[in-house]
Amino acid sequence: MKALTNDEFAKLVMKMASPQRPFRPSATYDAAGDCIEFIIKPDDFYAHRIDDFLTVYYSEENGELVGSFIKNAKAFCRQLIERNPWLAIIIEEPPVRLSHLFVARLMNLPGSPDQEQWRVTATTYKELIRYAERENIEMSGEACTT
Amino acid sequence: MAGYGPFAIEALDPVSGKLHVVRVSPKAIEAAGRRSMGQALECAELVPMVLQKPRHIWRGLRWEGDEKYSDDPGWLSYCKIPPYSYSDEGIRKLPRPNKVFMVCVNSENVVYRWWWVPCDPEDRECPKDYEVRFREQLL
Repeated sequence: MKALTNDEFAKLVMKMASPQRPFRPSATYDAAGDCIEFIIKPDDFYAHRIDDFLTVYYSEENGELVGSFIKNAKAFCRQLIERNPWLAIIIEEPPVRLSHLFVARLMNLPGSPDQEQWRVTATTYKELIRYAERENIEMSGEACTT
Repeated sequence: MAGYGPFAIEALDPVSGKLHVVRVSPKAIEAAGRRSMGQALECAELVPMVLQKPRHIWRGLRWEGDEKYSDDPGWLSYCKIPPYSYSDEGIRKLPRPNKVFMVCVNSENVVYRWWWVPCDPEDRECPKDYEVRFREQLL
């Protein structure tokens, strides 16, 4: 495979740039990286790792939660289904509600509620559930097909 | 890879020390382009810059639970403070304070994400907690 020059790459990327106005929150599964990205607001952000599945995005401007990133999405879904067979029933037929994945993960968070770190992590998942529900976020079932 | 085909660019191979070819996920590019002009420009300019002339490269993650779902801990994290960043509107500005730009490449040589992350207070050219975060420093 021949590599693009940096100029060619930059031109192609900018040809694809079409900032969505008005912006609509969405979740996308990227099979190339096996990851799910949930964008709540289009702010400049920095990434903060929460646990082995989840990285969250915080706004550079005001520190608000503006998105999240789930890596190893297929393994994430497979593990959730193994632990919670009911989840397979819910996500059998796409579209998949993103909030269901966050709820299932929250129900299986390692650690204990009497640990400060557990409570911080749980609060983050709770916040993501709230946003995903409020925005009615659904995605294709690709990530959950094992 | 339907639509735009594979976006193949060069990246430093930390093993050989030479440039080799990696592919950038088109969906990740599209997602950046949907968010803002600034994030599209950072993808267009900063991603190749960091991949080709990184300050540091790490392999694998070693926090508890990381990569337990992957047989191959070959993921690479390229990192650098680039000379500039972009605002939402696409205006070039100074790099973000107290942040480093990180580009993540999986074991199939797919660039699947890039982002600014908080820097380590002890070494501002490294991501926070880099000493306990990564399995192996390659550069």
